[in-house]
Amino acid sequence: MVHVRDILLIKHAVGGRVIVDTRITSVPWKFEADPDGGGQFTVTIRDKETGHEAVRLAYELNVFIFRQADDQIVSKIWHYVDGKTVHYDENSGELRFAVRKSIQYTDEKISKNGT
Amino acid sequence: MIQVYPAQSRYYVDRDWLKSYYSFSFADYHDPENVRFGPLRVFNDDIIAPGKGFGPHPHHDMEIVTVVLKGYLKHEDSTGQAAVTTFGEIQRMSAGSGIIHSEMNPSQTEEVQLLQIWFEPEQRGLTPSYEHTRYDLAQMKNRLLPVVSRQGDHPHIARINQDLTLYLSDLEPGQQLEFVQEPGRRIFLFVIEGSLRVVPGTSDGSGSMSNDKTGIVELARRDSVRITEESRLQLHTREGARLMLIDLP
Repeated sequence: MVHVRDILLIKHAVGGRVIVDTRITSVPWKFEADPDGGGQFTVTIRDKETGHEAVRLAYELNVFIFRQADDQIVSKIWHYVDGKTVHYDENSGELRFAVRKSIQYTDEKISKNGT
Repeated sequence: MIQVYPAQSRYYVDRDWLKSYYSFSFADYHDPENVRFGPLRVFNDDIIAPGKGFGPHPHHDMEIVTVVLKGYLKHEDSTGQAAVTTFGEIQRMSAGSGIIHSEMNPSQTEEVQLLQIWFEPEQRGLTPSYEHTRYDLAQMKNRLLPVVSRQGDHPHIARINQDLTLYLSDLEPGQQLEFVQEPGRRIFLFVIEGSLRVVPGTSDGSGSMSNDKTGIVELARRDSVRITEESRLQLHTREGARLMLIDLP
Protein backbone atom coordinates (compact mmCIF):
# COMPACT_ATOMS: atom_id res chain seq x y z
CA MET A 1 0.00 0.00 0.00
CA VAL A 2 1.40 3.40 -1.01
CA HIS A 3 1.54 6.00 1.73
CA VAL A 4 0.89 9.54 0.51
CA ARG A 5 1.77 12.52 2.68
CA ASP A 6 0.43 16.00 1.92
CA ILE A 7 2.07 19.11 3.34
CA LEU A 8 0.40 22.53 3.25
CA LEU A 9 2.60 25.60 2.92
CA ILE A 10 1.25 29.16 2.81
CA LYS A 11 3.75 31.98 2.54
CA HIS A 12 4.15 35.55 1.36
CA ALA A 13 5.23 35.67 -2.27
CA VAL A 14 7.67 38.58 -1.83
CA GLY A 15 8.74 38.63 1.79
CA GLY A 16 8.71 34.89 2.33
CA ARG A 17 6.90 35.12 5.66
CA VAL A 18 5.46 31.71 6.48
CA ILE A 19 1.79 31.69 7.48
CA VAL A 20 1.32 27.91 7.61
CA ASP A 21 3.83 25.08 7.26
CA THR A 22 2.39 21.79 8.41
CA ARG A 23 5.90 20.27 8.50
CA ILE A 24 6.59 22.58 11.44
CA THR A 25 3.14 22.95 12.99
CA SER A 26 0.38 20.48 12.19
CA VAL A 27 -2.99 22.20 11.73
CA PRO A 28 -6.35 20.93 10.45
CA TRP A 29 -6.89 21.87 6.81
CA LYS A 30 -8.83 20.70 3.78
CA PHE A 31 -8.97 21.47 0.07
CA GLU A 32 -12.20 20.96 -1.83
CA ALA A 33 -11.45 20.92 -5.55
CA ASP A 34 -13.84 22.33 -8.13
CA PRO A 35 -14.28 20.66 -11.51
CA ASP A 36 -12.96 23.80 -13.25
CA GLY A 37 -9.48 23.53 -11.69
CA GLY A 38 -10.13 25.87 -8.78
CA GLY A 39 -11.24 25.05 -5.28
CA GLN A 40 -11.71 26.13 -1.69
CA PHE A 41 -9.23 25.93 1.18
CA THR A 42 -10.18 25.86 4.84
CA VAL A 43 -7.26 26.08 7.28
CA THR A 44 -7.36 26.34 11.05
CA ILE A 45 -5.07 29.08 12.39
CA ARG A 46 -5.43 29.55 16.14
CA ASP A 47 -3.02 32.48 16.34
CA LYS A 48 -5.19 35.50 15.53
CA GLU A 49 -2.28 37.71 14.51
CA THR A 50 -1.17 35.15 11.94
CA GLY A 51 -4.74 34.77 10.68
CA HIS A 52 -5.11 38.49 10.15
CA GLU A 53 -1.66 38.68 8.54
CA ALA A 54 -2.86 36.16 5.95
CA VAL A 55 -5.77 38.49 5.14
CA ARG A 56 -3.43 41.50 4.93
CA LEU A 57 -1.25 39.61 2.43
CA ALA A 58 -4.26 38.15 0.59
CA TYR A 59 -3.16 39.22 -2.88
CA GLU A 60 0.43 38.11 -2.41
CA LEU A 61 0.06 34.61 -1.02
CA ASN A 62 1.75 31.54 -2.40
CA VAL A 63 -0.13 28.37 -1.46
CA PHE A 64 1.44 24.96 -2.03
CA ILE A 65 0.55 21.36 -1.41
CA PHE A 66 3.69 19.18 -1.38
CA ARG A 67 2.66 15.60 -2.09
CA GLN A 68 5.05 12.74 -1.41
CA ALA A 69 4.30 9.09 -1.99
CA ASP A 70 6.76 6.89 -0.06
CA ASP A 71 10.24 7.59 -1.44
CA GLN A 72 9.05 9.22 -4.67
CA ILE A 73 10.06 12.74 -5.75
CA VAL A 74 7.90 15.37 -4.07
CA SER A 75 5.18 16.66 -6.36
CA LYS A 76 4.47 20.34 -5.75
CA ILE A 77 1.10 21.86 -6.50
CA TRP A 78 1.00 25.65 -6.46
CA HIS A 79 -2.39 27.36 -6.18
CA TYR A 80 -3.37 30.82 -7.46
CA VAL A 81 -5.29 32.50 -4.64
CA ASP A 82 -8.29 34.70 -5.39
CA GLY A 83 -7.26 37.51 -3.03
CA LYS A 84 -10.72 38.96 -2.56
CA THR A 85 -12.00 35.67 -1.09
CA VAL A 86 -9.45 35.44 1.73
CA HIS A 87 -11.33 35.61 5.03
CA TYR A 88 -10.36 34.87 8.62
CA ASP A 89 -12.84 34.12 11.39
CA GLU A 90 -11.30 34.82 14.79
CA ASN A 91 -13.96 32.83 16.64
CA SER A 92 -13.58 29.60 14.70
CA GLY A 93 -9.91 30.21 13.85
CA GLU A 94 -10.70 29.32 10.25
CA LEU A 95 -8.94 30.90 7.29
CA ARG A 96 -10.94 30.37 4.10
CA PHE A 97 -10.05 31.27 0.56
CA ALA A 98 -10.73 30.23 -3.00
CA VAL A 99 -8.10 29.34 -5.58
CA ARG A 100 -8.63 29.81 -9.29
CA LYS A 101 -6.03 27.50 -10.80
CA SER A 102 -3.13 25.29 -9.89
CA ILE A 103 0.17 24.28 -11.48
CA GLN A 104 1.96 21.04 -10.68
CA TYR A 105 5.75 20.69 -10.87
CA THR A 106 8.72 19.09 -9.18
CA ASP A 107 12.10 20.47 -8.12
CA GLU A 108 13.59 18.64 -11.09
CA LYS A 109 11.14 19.41 -13.85
CA ILE A 110 8.93 22.13 -15.25
CA SER A 111 6.37 20.88 -17.73
CA LYS A 112 4.54 23.08 -20.18
CA ASN A 113 1.46 24.48 -18.42
CA GLY A 114 2.77 22.83 -15.30
CA THR A 115 0.97 19.57 -15.96
CA MET B 1 12.66 65.25 -3.15
CA ILE B 2 15.72 63.06 -3.63
CA GLN B 3 16.39 60.18 -1.26
CA VAL B 4 19.87 58.73 -1.52
CA TYR B 5 20.50 55.02 -0.84
CA PRO B 6 24.23 54.28 -0.71
CA ALA B 7 25.30 50.86 -2.00
CA GLN B 8 26.32 49.74 1.48
CA SER B 9 22.85 50.49 2.86
CA ARG B 10 21.42 47.56 0.90
CA TYR B 11 20.64 44.29 2.69
CA TYR B 12 23.30 41.69 1.91
CA VAL B 13 22.76 37.94 1.77
CA ASP B 14 25.51 35.38 1.18
CA ARG B 15 24.24 31.85 0.54
CA ASP B 16 27.52 30.54 -0.81
CA TRP B 17 26.14 29.97 -4.33
CA LEU B 18 24.23 33.27 -4.29
CA LYS B 19 25.31 36.71 -3.21
CA SER B 20 22.49 39.25 -3.21
CA TYR B 21 22.04 42.88 -2.35
CA TYR B 22 18.40 43.81 -1.74
CA SER B 23 17.30 47.42 -2.24
CA PHE B 24 13.80 46.65 -0.92
CA SER B 25 12.27 44.23 1.58
CA PHE B 26 12.66 40.74 0.17
CA ALA B 27 12.81 37.20 1.51
CA ASP B 28 14.30 37.32 5.03
CA TYR B 29 14.78 41.08 4.97
CA HIS B 30 11.72 42.96 6.12
CA ASP B 31 11.64 46.68 6.71
CA PRO B 32 8.05 47.99 6.69
CA GLU B 33 9.43 51.42 5.69
CA ASN B 34 11.19 49.97 2.64
CA VAL B 35 8.63 47.81 0.86
CA ARG B 36 8.07 49.71 -2.37
CA PHE B 37 8.66 52.79 -4.47
CA GLY B 38 5.40 53.15 -6.39
CA PRO B 39 4.92 49.87 -8.28
CA LEU B 40 8.62 48.99 -7.85
CA ARG B 41 8.75 46.20 -5.24
CA VAL B 42 12.04 44.37 -5.69
CA PHE B 43 15.47 45.45 -6.92
CA ASN B 44 18.00 42.68 -6.32
CA ASP B 45 21.64 42.79 -7.37
CA ASP B 46 22.58 39.09 -7.65
CA ILE B 47 25.72 37.09 -8.31
CA ILE B 48 25.09 33.40 -8.99
CA ALA B 49 27.92 30.87 -8.88
CA PRO B 50 28.70 28.65 -11.91
CA GLY B 51 26.23 25.79 -12.38
CA LYS B 52 23.89 27.10 -9.68
CA GLY B 53 20.61 28.98 -9.66
CA PHE B 54 16.99 29.11 -8.67
CA GLY B 55 15.15 25.84 -9.29
CA PRO B 56 11.49 25.70 -10.28
CA HIS B 57 9.35 28.10 -8.27
CA PRO B 58 6.12 30.07 -8.83
CA HIS B 59 5.33 33.73 -9.34
CA HIS B 60 2.04 35.53 -9.82
CA ASP B 61 0.85 39.07 -10.49
CA MET B 62 4.30 40.54 -10.86
CA GLU B 63 6.22 41.95 -13.83
CA ILE B 64 9.78 40.67 -13.51
CA VAL B 65 12.61 42.23 -15.50
CA THR B 66 16.09 40.73 -15.49
CA VAL B 67 19.09 42.66 -16.77
CA VAL B 68 22.19 40.49 -17.09
CA LEU B 69 25.39 42.42 -16.47
CA LYS B 70 27.90 39.62 -16.94
CA GLY B 71 27.74 35.92 -17.79
CA TYR B 72 24.70 33.92 -18.83
CA LEU B 73 21.31 33.15 -17.29
CA LYS B 74 19.16 30.26 -18.50
CA HIS B 75 15.41 30.59 -18.07
CA GLU B 76 12.70 27.91 -18.45
CA ASP B 77 9.03 28.27 -17.60
CA SER B 78 5.67 26.53 -17.56
CA THR B 79 4.47 28.40 -20.66
CA GLY B 80 7.06 26.43 -22.61
CA GLN B 81 9.53 29.31 -22.99
CA ALA B 82 13.26 28.79 -22.60
CA ALA B 83 16.09 31.24 -23.29
CA VAL B 84 19.62 32.15 -22.32
CA THR B 85 20.17 35.85 -21.58
CA THR B 86 23.49 37.67 -21.49
CA PHE B 87 24.79 41.25 -21.37
CA GLY B 88 22.98 43.42 -23.90
CA GLU B 89 19.76 41.50 -23.42
CA ILE B 90 16.66 41.77 -21.28
CA GLN B 91 14.20 39.19 -20.11
CA ARG B 92 10.71 40.24 -19.09
CA MET B 93 8.31 37.81 -17.47
CA SER B 94 4.70 38.70 -16.73
CA ALA B 95 3.72 36.23 -14.04
CA GLY B 96 0.02 37.09 -14.27
CA SER B 97 -2.24 34.30 -13.04
CA GLY B 98 0.74 32.09 -12.29
CA ILE B 99 3.90 30.72 -13.82
CA ILE B 100 6.57 28.27 -12.71
CA HIS B 101 10.09 29.10 -13.79
CA SER B 102 13.71 28.35 -13.11
CA GLU B 103 16.78 30.54 -13.55
CA MET B 104 20.15 28.87 -13.67
CA ASN B 105 23.70 29.83 -14.47
CA PRO B 106 24.48 27.41 -17.33
CA SER B 107 28.23 28.07 -17.19
CA GLN B 108 30.43 25.70 -15.21
CA THR B 109 33.21 28.29 -14.93
CA GLU B 110 31.80 31.83 -14.98
CA GLU B 111 29.51 33.51 -12.47
CA VAL B 112 26.48 35.45 -13.67
CA GLN B 113 25.77 38.97 -12.43
CA LEU B 114 22.28 40.34 -12.87
CA LEU B 115 19.75 42.87 -11.69
CA GLN B 116 16.32 41.43 -11.05
CA ILE B 117 13.53 43.95 -10.75
CA TRP B 118 9.89 43.27 -9.81
CA PHE B 119 7.03 45.63 -10.55
CA GLU B 120 3.38 45.33 -9.66
CA PRO B 121 1.31 45.08 -12.85
CA GLU B 122 -1.53 47.42 -13.73
CA GLN B 123 -3.95 44.48 -13.60
CA ARG B 124 -4.05 41.19 -11.74
CA GLY B 125 -4.74 37.84 -13.34
CA LEU B 126 -3.11 38.54 -16.71
CA THR B 127 -2.13 35.70 -19.02
CA PRO B 128 1.46 34.72 -18.14
CA SER B 129 4.02 35.62 -20.78
CA TYR B 130 7.76 35.80 -21.39
CA GLU B 131 9.85 37.99 -23.66
CA HIS B 132 13.54 38.09 -24.46
CA THR B 133 14.92 41.19 -26.20
CA ARG B 134 18.30 42.47 -27.28
CA TYR B 135 19.23 46.15 -27.21
CA ASP B 136 21.90 47.97 -29.19
CA LEU B 137 24.84 48.74 -26.90
CA ALA B 138 26.02 51.52 -29.21
CA GLN B 139 22.66 53.24 -28.86
CA MET B 140 23.01 53.68 -25.10
CA LYS B 141 26.19 55.77 -25.39
CA ASN B 142 25.56 59.22 -23.91
CA ARG B 143 21.78 58.86 -24.15
CA LEU B 144 19.00 57.19 -22.23
CA LEU B 145 18.02 54.11 -24.20
CA PRO B 146 14.56 52.72 -23.40
CA VAL B 147 14.82 48.92 -23.04
CA VAL B 148 11.50 48.18 -21.28
CA SER B 149 8.26 50.12 -21.63
CA ARG B 150 4.49 49.71 -21.58
CA GLN B 151 4.35 50.53 -25.29
CA GLY B 152 7.08 48.07 -26.22
CA ASP B 153 6.71 49.51 -29.69
CA HIS B 154 10.12 48.47 -30.95
CA PRO B 155 11.72 45.03 -31.35
CA HIS B 156 14.51 46.11 -28.98
CA ILE B 157 12.12 47.24 -26.22
CA ALA B 158 10.48 44.67 -23.94
CA ARG B 159 6.80 45.31 -23.31
CA ILE B 160 5.66 45.52 -19.70
CA ASN B 161 2.19 45.65 -18.14
CA GLN B 162 2.82 48.81 -16.15
CA ASP B 163 3.07 52.51 -17.00
CA LEU B 164 6.85 52.70 -16.71
CA THR B 165 9.93 53.01 -18.85
CA LEU B 166 13.29 51.52 -17.93
CA TYR B 167 16.31 53.17 -19.54
CA LEU B 168 19.97 52.18 -19.67
CA SER B 169 22.84 54.49 -20.48
CA ASP B 170 26.61 54.41 -20.87
CA LEU B 171 27.78 57.91 -20.11
CA GLU B 172 31.33 58.58 -21.26
CA PRO B 173 33.75 60.59 -19.09
CA GLY B 174 32.85 64.26 -19.02
CA GLN B 175 29.43 63.74 -20.59
CA GLN B 176 26.00 64.73 -19.27
CA LEU B 177 22.34 63.94 -19.85
CA GLU B 178 19.10 65.65 -19.03
CA PHE B 179 15.88 63.90 -18.07
CA VAL B 180 12.57 65.74 -17.97
CA GLN B 181 9.93 64.19 -15.77
CA GLU B 182 6.16 64.62 -15.89
CA PRO B 183 4.46 65.97 -12.76
CA GLY B 184 3.45 63.41 -10.17
CA ARG B 185 5.77 60.68 -11.37
CA ARG B 186 8.76 59.00 -9.72
CA ILE B 187 12.33 58.29 -10.81
CA PHE B 188 14.48 55.42 -9.57
CA LEU B 189 18.11 55.88 -10.56
CA PHE B 190 20.79 53.23 -10.06
CA VAL B 191 24.51 53.53 -10.83
CA ILE B 192 25.61 50.20 -12.27
CA GLU B 193 29.25 51.24 -12.75
CA GLY B 194 31.25 54.45 -12.38
CA SER B 195 30.10 57.59 -10.65
CA LEU B 196 27.44 60.19 -11.28
CA ARG B 197 26.47 63.67 -10.19
CA VAL B 198 22.72 64.29 -10.07
CA VAL B 199 21.66 67.91 -10.35
CA PRO B 200 17.98 68.60 -9.82
CA GLY B 201 16.50 71.68 -11.39
CA THR B 202 13.31 73.33 -12.50
CA SER B 203 12.52 75.03 -15.74
CA ASP B 204 12.34 78.83 -15.57
CA GLY B 205 9.94 78.82 -18.47
CA SER B 206 12.44 79.87 -21.10
CA GLY B 207 13.96 76.48 -21.54
CA SER B 208 17.00 77.15 -19.42
CA MET B 209 17.75 75.39 -16.17
CA SER B 210 17.89 76.98 -12.75
CA ASN B 211 19.79 74.60 -10.56
CA ASP B 212 19.12 74.13 -6.88
CA LYS B 213 22.71 73.56 -5.84
CA THR B 214 21.75 72.36 -2.39
CA GLY B 215 20.11 69.35 -4.00
CA ILE B 216 23.16 68.12 -5.89
CA VAL B 217 23.92 64.47 -5.18
CA GLU B 218 27.12 62.55 -5.83
CA LEU B 219 26.62 58.84 -6.48
CA ALA B 220 29.13 55.98 -6.65
CA ARG B 221 28.92 52.44 -8.01
CA ARG B 222 25.69 50.67 -6.94
CA ASP B 223 24.28 53.75 -5.18
CA SER B 224 20.68 54.62 -5.98
CA VAL B 225 18.26 57.49 -5.55
CA ARG B 226 14.49 57.62 -5.33
CA ILE B 227 13.18 60.89 -6.70
CA THR B 228 9.79 62.55 -6.46
CA GLU B 229 8.59 66.08 -7.20
CA GLU B 230 11.48 66.94 -9.52
CA SER B 231 10.67 68.01 -13.05
CA ARG B 232 14.21 67.97 -14.45
CA LEU B 233 17.44 66.21 -13.71
CA GLN B 234 20.91 66.69 -15.08
CA LEU B 235 23.21 63.70 -14.87
CA HIS B 236 26.93 64.44 -15.11
CA THR B 237 29.89 62.10 -14.92
CA ARG B 238 33.58 62.86 -14.64
CA GLU B 239 34.97 59.31 -14.88
CA GLY B 240 32.12 57.70 -16.83
CA ALA B 241 29.03 55.83 -15.67
CA ARG B 242 26.73 53.00 -16.65
CA LEU B 243 23.31 53.73 -15.19
CA MET B 244 19.70 52.61 -15.07
CA LEU B 245 16.86 55.11 -14.82
CA ILE B 246 13.26 53.99 -14.27
CA ASP B 247 10.41 56.41 -14.90
CA LEU B 248 7.56 55.24 -12.65
CA PRO B 249 3.99 56.25 -11.83
